[in-house]
Amino acid sequence: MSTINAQNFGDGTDTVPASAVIQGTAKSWVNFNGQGTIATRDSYNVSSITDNGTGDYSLNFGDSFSNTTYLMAPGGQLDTAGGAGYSSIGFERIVSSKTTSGCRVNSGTAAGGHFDYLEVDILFVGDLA
Amino acid sequence: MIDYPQYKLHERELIFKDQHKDLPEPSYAIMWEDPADPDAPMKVTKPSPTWLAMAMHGDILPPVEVYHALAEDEAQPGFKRHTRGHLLHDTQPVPAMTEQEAMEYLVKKDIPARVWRDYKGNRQILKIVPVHMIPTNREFRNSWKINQEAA
Repeated sequence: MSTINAQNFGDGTDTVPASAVIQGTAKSWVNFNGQGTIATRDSYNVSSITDNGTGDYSLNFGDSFSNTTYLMAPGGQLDTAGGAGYSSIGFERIVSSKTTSGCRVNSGTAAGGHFDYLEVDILFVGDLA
Repeated sequence: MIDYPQYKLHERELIFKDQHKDLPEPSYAIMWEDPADPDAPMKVTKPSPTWLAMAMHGDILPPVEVYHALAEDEAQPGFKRHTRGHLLHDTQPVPAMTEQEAMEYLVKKDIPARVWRDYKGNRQILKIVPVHMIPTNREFRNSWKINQEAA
């Protein structure tokens, strides 16, 4: 693997600093089945997933973040039953839900209550340690 | 032959994923109960296929003690940011592990120490089991507990 060292990237018209590319790149992501026995379909920088209960999952990173100000962009699919697909996934409402090595997330329905998703998709952005 | 240790940990995974497609689903999972939350249902932890394959490949993952060192740093009052993150990348990676060894490594990495190291009770609260032994029926999900009779 070769490394290109540059301070900026451009196409002749617009230029962005290399730091913008590095900062804006996902540092971890995962797509997993949250129903039945949980299973990772694909991932990057995720060592394991934990099923804590209905709609309650923990994710652990392979390479830790440098601090806990990273963010997640969640999405997913509740099921294939038809109808509107409003998903709701967020960090669990406890102090320890977010550490540099992992986080705990809940999934639910727009109507409220935990729900096991057919597909949980989460992308993380931040600084790695 | 790729010299993984020369790259940062997250770069090693990018290279590894590029070289290894369609990895099999792990055949083992960790069932555990949290003594800090005795009313909670049993938890199931499964490695990602990529992580498990990297563990069994060797020369990619750092010693698990590196994660413990970072966790100790994070537990300090006033923690803002890791200053020893280089340990993840610069520490000599561990050699290839068997699947069993990889699962034991994962226990130490991703399961709280109060479960696998500090628990002094009589109940068995952690087991590494074949995935097919874990119930998939969610009807009684919140009543699952580890069977104390099974060896």
